[in-house]
Amino acid sequence: MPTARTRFIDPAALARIQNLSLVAKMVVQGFISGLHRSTFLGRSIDFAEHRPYMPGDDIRRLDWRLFARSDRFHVKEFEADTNANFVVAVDVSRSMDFGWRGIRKLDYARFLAGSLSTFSRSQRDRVGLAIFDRELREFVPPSAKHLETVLQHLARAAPPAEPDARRRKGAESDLEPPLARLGAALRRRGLVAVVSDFYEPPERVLAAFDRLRVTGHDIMAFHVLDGAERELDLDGVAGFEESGTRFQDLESGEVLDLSPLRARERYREAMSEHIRALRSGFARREVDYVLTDTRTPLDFALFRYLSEREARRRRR
Amino acid sequence: MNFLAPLFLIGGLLVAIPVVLHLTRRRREPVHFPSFLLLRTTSATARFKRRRFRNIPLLILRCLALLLLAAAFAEPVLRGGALAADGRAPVDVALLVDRSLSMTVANRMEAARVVAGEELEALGRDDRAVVLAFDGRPEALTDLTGEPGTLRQAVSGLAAGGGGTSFVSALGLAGRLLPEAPGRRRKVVLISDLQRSGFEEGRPQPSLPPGVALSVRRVGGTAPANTWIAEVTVAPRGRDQLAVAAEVRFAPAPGTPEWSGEVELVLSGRTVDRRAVTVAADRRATVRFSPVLRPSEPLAAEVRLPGDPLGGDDRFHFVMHPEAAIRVADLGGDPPSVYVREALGVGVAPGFLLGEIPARGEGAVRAALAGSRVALVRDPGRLDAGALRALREFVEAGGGLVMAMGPRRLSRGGTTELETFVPALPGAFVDRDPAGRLGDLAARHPVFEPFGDEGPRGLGGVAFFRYRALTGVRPDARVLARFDDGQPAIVESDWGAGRILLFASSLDAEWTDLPRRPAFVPLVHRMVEVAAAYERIPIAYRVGESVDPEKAFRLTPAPAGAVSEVLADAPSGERTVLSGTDALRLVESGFYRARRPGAAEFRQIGVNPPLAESDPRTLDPGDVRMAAAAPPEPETEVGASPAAPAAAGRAVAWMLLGGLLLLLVSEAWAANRSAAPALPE
Repeated sequence: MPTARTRFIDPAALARIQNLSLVAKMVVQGFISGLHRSTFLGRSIDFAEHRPYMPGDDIRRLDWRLFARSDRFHVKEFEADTNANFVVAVDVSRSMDFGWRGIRKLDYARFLAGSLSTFSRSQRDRVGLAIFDRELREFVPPSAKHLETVLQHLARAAPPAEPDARRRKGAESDLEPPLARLGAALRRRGLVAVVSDFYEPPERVLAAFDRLRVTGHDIMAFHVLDGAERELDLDGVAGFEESGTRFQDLESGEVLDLSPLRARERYREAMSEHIRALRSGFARREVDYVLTDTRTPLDFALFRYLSEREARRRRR
Repeated sequence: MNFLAPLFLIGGLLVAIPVVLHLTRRRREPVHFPSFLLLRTTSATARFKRRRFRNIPLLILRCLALLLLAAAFAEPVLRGGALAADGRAPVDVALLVDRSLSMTVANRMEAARVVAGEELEALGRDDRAVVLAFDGRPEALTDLTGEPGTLRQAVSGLAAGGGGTSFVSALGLAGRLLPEAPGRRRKVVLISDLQRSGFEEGRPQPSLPPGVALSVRRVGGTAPANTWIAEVTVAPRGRDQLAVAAEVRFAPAPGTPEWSGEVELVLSGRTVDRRAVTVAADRRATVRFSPVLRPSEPLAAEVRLPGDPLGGDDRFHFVMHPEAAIRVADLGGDPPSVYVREALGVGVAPGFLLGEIPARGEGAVRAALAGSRVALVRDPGRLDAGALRALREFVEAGGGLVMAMGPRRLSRGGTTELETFVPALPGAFVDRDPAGRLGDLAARHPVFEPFGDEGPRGLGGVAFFRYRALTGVRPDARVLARFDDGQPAIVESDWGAGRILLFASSLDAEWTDLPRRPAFVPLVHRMVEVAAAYERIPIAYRVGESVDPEKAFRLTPAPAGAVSEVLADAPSGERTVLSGTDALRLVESGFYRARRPGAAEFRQIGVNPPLAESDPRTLDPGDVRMAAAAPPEPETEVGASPAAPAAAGRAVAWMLLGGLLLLLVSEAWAANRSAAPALPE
């Protein structure tokens, strides 16, 4: 509905803001302001920090050990109670380095991951991060204090500089190794959100998720696609459609000459089949699958995420 | 359409470059795509292998741009608006070469041919020229052509003649021979010594048509000193002699304040007299030779000066005729009229031979009239009826009669006889106090010709105290003058083959002061000439004149019904056959000869250069340009290069370049439109 969509923030506009932390806060605060008070807020007993004693503070919260060492009164402050671990795994392979007349998929993924992390942190969840392509490149373990670290790693995330010729012909699985390593690294059950374009045969994608599921995590799959690649509608090269266009695979560097006009129909069918296979496979594995377009506002994606999470809780 | 640099058209082959590029070249930057995982499944049907032209509108624009560029460098030339090979607009040139007498000085004519040759050499491939020669009259020697051989041949054949100089007609013809054509310039090149007399005062200034440039190239240096025979007069001296006088003029050059030399009179090739003369600068001197015997036949004569640089005017050719004077029989009687005798005695051309007849009988009158052409009667009352009868018969036979009035009254028989042939009879005496004047005059009648436009005023001051009323004026008579009271003063009529002039007053000083007036002499001369039906035939002619050969050569009239034919030989020997009313144009100095076909005897006339041609003074080229009202042009300076570039002729090339610019703008716009969008970062 137009009236509902206008309150969402355009990803392309967010892309002009360099500070990922600011972007995430803007998205989350705007998203929260549109919600009712969350029932997920709670208290925690985890130590957070010391602060100087102020008149009126409860003397039961004085840290006597620190007084013994420093001869000064300090009050212990505690984090609120966390609900779960939240790890977002972001695909930074070269295929994510694509955006047709708009935001790149990788940027969208970073904004989405940052927003999810910020939102989760606001829900007192511990947040962590995994950045991968064919391997697990970065891993930030979930922690109540790691939000800024997560955001910093997300801001620095970049795809490989050169194509990988080994990825031609789809000889090896790309998603399974990093997800397997991630599953091994996460010792405590939690929520894992995988943000990727999933350019791999669906069975391999699902097999990779199976490796993650065995550790007992709740998994969400954010399938990020650009509208142009989804429809093979490369407007602006229309003049070349009739006579043929040279394409280059971002992942492998492979080159292919074909007519987009003639390939479009078959491509769309293949894309639909791919999505359908992923959706059904994820459904069978109780993996939340969110297909999102880079033109979709981030808070809309957050809403989808929250809705899926609520539905999961109710199912449980 | 032609091309000035057709080799540049080879550059048009460059269109092959965009053709090949559009046919073979794929996008230099391929479209990056996230993954071929799905795209590869479509390649079996969507692979593209055929080579086809990509972006055909852009290809057309680029090919057109290259073709226009090649065409612009090749400098296309439109037919009728072409450019010459050196990049200037083609030009039509009229080479106007002076061949007048003054061009015979030193090597002026040779210099003119050289200059004309230079002008022809400067012509471009698409230029055209016409060669004209002019003196007093212009003549086109060629058509307007671009054929160099024809033009050079005409220039090499140029030669100076004996004619005068007229820039007016020459420039006029040159302008008319240069048709106005789009994209072609027109130029007249005047090659002359720029003799000042070529521009005649009182005539319209020469002007060229608008758009015709004038280049003036003067040949010859400073004007030389010149001495020339301006005029020769032959006057009767007595009954058997002729007095020849020549007027010598001198135009100085720096350092020659006067001229001294001998002048010769040559008759039939033999010098008969030689006179020394000194002429001051810009003055004239009259040389009077010793009288010569009146020839029995027309005699060719010359007055010669020593040679000078302008030799054509150092000889004056003329012909002395045996009948150079009008014989007048004065029947006035006793005493003879001093005024009439003196007046007729000063006649030169013609001269008058006055025969005074004291007797008044018929026999004496008939004797006096024999051999005379005009009878002068100063008092008809003095003649009896027999004398008047003889007079009537004289007039009927072709004689002339000038009759003035006197105090005597006519006898009855005389009146009867007189009224048979005179246009009016003398009536009552009219005395005027104050004196009467002449009123109405037929100013254009030959009698009053010497007075020109001042006819009425020249005679208006003459006082008439007495005259006779002329009565019974015949209807066919012409009243040439009337007194201020309306009475006829001079009446003219024809009778038989002769002519009669009646004068109502006296030719002596008793009734009028006319004899004491300056107008008396020319009036008496003209009255006698008109009565004698005298036709002035000059003793010499000028080059450039056209003459009636029959009159000029005094040939015997052709028989009635026969075609008049005359053979005329120029001094150079060139013969002209004239028939009917053909006029003979005199183009050479010397003696022209003419005769009827079949006749053995030639008659001849002397022809001399135009008088103004002897004046050697010249003009500055700038004055000539101003007089010609020619538009300013750098080339008009003497000696200037005749081939200045003309940017106007490059219009076609500029148009092509303008079109090329538009094409490039369009190409850039189309290329931007069809360029691939920004690739993923």
